[in-house]
Amino acid sequence: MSDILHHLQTWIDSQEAFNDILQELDIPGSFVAWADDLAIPWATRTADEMPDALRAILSFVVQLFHRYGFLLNMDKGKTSAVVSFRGTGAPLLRQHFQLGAKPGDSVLIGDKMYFLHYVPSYKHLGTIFAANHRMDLEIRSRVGQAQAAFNLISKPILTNRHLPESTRLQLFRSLVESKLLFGLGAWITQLTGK
Amino acid sequence: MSKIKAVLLRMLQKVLRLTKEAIMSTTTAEVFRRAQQPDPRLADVN
Repeated sequence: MSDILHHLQTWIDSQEAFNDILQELDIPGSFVAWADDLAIPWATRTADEMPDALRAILSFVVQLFHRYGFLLNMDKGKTSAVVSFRGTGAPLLRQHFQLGAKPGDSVLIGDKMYFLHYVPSYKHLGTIFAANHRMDLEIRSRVGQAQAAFNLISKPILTNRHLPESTRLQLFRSLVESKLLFGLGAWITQLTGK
Repeated sequence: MSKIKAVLLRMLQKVLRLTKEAIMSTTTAEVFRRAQQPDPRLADVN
């Protein structure tokens, strides 16, 4: 896998238009990888450049993985793109690629046709990344998971008056609060009142 | 963030077994202090 990631990073570094954007924004450009889970952040100057950029990325990744004997699972929920079209022409692109019966784009790679699903959100390493860049979905998910864990052990443990308060609090921290606050340190700073 | 804090507060009130009357008369800061839980505050961003 490390050879694949090295080639991927070299390819990303060679994409001048993308790297110019990163330089202007003063942010490092790289992929996010964990074991066989891979996310590639990307940006283009105009909305209409994005579909072609995504085709180029998918084409490179498919062929790179193929060279090392891997096949990408292109099923929905396995390989997908979270796309935010912004600026001139964005409404038309959204209509064409995201608001149809089957959101996504067909890409011809070699002699095989691939379909890249465009999805509104994607869960990477337990955290939900949404196309609208808002945290609402992640917060709802965190609250839901914590609430489910709380309800499961509420009566027998967390509100059991036969257990000392300190024990109940300790168990609450490790079994419930850890789900509620997972990844909180990496969240964007909200303005007061939000 | 305020939603997370509200959920955390509600759960802590149950874990601490506060009665309805105690919930009415206990401030949020007191609940967090009693639970030895750092109060998740919002950063002041200008």
